Amino acid sequence: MNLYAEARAGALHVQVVEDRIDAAVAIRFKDKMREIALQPADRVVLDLSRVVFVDSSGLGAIVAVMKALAPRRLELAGLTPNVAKVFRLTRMDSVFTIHPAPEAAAAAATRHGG
Amino acid sequence: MAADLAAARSSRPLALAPAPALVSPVRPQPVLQLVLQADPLSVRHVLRVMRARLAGELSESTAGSLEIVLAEVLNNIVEHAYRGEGGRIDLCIGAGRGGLLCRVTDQGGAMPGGVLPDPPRLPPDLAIEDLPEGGFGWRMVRDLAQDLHYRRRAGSNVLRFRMALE
Repeated sequence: MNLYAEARAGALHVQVVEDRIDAAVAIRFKDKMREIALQPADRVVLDLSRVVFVDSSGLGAIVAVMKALAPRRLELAGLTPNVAKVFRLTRMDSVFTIHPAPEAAAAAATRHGG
Repeated sequence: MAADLAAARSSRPLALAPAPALVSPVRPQPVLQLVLQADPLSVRHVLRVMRARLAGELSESTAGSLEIVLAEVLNNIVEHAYRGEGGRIDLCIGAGRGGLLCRVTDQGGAMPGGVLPDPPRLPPDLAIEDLPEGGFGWRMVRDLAQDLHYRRRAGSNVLRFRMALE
């Protein structure tokens, strides 16, 4: 499970450098995210633009990370079509702040004064 | 591939076709028939094979929905029917009237109560700490697949469903 983290404008951007977050990697994803999130940042933006598939285990892991980060926020960016479908079907699209692209997430940070 | 099968069917002499009474309407011509080991990496591999083989036959939306349903059904067998101890799963996808007809068979434990789970939808305005971390799979299967049918027979679980073409 490859994750690339970078501090940008007060937010921690984490890019998932894998094409899937599924049952085979869900636990490793959760553990690595928790490790990465030890870095101080008010917001964590998870860039999913390279991820083409998330199953229910992967979705559960993303929700678990969000709960572990609270009260800090976990935001999502760059959902590909089938990943967006999973969030829509499970109504998780109403729970997460979802940015259309990673660049939009960075812009949102700038507007909010970082 | 479906086109090849259709061609093979139509080239068969009519006189040799089985009598209509013997034709089972629920037995489609398979377009994809696979046997896999019940583990998460085999499931991932089979989903990739399915996407590659059916790429030219299905719309992106239908292929995506089929991938979601199969992932949940297969991973459920890996985790629950076989309890992570491995086993054999047979997958058959056929072209039928009204879409793809899928059949998944395993020899793991039976579905509790003999019925498929039917988890509720996520209620609105849940606090973050109350959000569920599971139970999403069968909700998506029920929302995306049609004519879901589960049967336990002679030590096997047989799950059938239809995927409409979008």
